[in-house]
Amino acid sequence: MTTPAIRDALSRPFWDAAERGEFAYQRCRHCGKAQFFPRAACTHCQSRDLDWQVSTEARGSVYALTHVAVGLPGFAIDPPYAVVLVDLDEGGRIMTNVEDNPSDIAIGDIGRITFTLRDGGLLPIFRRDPLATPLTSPE
Amino acid sequence: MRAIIGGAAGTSMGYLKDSSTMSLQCDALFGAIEDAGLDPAEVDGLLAAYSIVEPQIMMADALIEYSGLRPSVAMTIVNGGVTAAMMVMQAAMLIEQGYCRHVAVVAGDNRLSGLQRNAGATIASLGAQKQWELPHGLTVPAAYALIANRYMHEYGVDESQLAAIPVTQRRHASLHPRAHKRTPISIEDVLQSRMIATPLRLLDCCPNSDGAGALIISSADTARDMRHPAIEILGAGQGHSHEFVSAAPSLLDFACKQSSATAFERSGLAPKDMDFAQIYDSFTITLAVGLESCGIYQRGEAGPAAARGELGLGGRFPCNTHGGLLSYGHSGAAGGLFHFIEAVEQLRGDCGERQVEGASLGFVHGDGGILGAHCSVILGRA
Repeated sequence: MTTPAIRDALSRPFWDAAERGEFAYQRCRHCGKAQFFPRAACTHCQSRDLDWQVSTEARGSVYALTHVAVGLPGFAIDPPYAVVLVDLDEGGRIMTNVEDNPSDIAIGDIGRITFTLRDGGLLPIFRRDPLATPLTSPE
Repeated sequence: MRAIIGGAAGTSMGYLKDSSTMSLQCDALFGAIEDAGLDPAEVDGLLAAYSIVEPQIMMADALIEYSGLRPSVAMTIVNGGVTAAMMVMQAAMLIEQGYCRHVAVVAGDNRLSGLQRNAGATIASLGAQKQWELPHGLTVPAAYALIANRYMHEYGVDESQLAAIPVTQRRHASLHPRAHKRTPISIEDVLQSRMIATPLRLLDCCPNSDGAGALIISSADTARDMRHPAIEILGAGQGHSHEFVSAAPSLLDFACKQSSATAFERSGLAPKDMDFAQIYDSFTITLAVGLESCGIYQRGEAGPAAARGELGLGGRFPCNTHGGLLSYGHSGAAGGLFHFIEAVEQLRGDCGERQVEGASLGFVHGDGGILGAHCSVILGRA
């Protein structure tokens, strides 16, 4: 019931880029700030003059996480599954699951957003850097 | 003309076999009219909310049709958990502007018995943005768990400190004859209850309950005709920032800061003047964040304060004296209305064993979405 992700005209550049394995996000031409998820106006300055930028390696760090033990009915991943909020280096925050669903994912873990095929649709997913030192030591 | 609360009523809570949304709301509505000592024909305003189990696109008119009332002003307000507080604020505005003399505020849902029909999956996915969150399996508890995770990381609060919150509220509920969950629980019970979404366990989450509530909000010049002492609405305020957790400007600071500041400013009062608080508590973290963002406690201090007994009866700042959503119960939009009904009963001095001694001023707060929409109201004994 939850996948593949619905798409609309506004988000099409994101999903088109995803097909190429790239991460597309909006940047405001007026104030220069990035935002995720895409919208018709800039949430920082309310300008509607938004540009799309494409990154081949969207990096970021885990801002908050939870291991969902009682999952959404019908969800593709068996619980427990991690849901994380990742702060992107370019600006903006994205919610994803984590590749390989590690139980030791921690606040401050760094990595990048890639894409995974789930139930016939592409979805962004966080791939943690295996060798990187976390920005903040996990609790 | 100032607005007062002249009538309040809540139905039984819990699993109410064969109840319907409309029957529950009707029971609460006429209960509140009777409590105020009014003739139903005197109700000239009606504000209604929403039902997940039995959705209506025009709930206020559905209720008007169902009950036979014929108010001159009616509106439906749909804004998640903050709806009840918003209805109270809106009713006060209708009274203050002279549009109405007696406004009924009604909400109710048969959310527990309805779970066996269609409502379970709907309720679980209510808090998720359809394109950017739901595909990642975000449940409502998971959204609050993200906030709890960051909060605990930031302030070094542990689970056992936060566990004092549901324990305190269960003790309060055990003293309330209508509460859904009345069996006392311990810190251990909370810490050993089933994990729902780390760090939130079952007893950190409110139950789903069948139930309804209603208030009659009236013009202060009608107070002498009422059966009970009038409770004044002294100030109200709102704050808004987001609907979905991934779009929240901050996971530490929420718009209850604005809503409470406005409500206190308009009433000319401060948090220290309050004898109690009834604050929205869908999860333990909701209450902790509410107490702190409203400026009642310092960051990270709500859990330790609960552990020291400050939020309990006889404590420094009695909070959710009916048991809150966590134990009194959560019936959708009515969940936030029960906080008001309890505040009214406290200010009337009708709470028996759970009475806050000499209560004359109280703070009531509702929030909706994932801590994105807020409304605070200050009430006082006239």
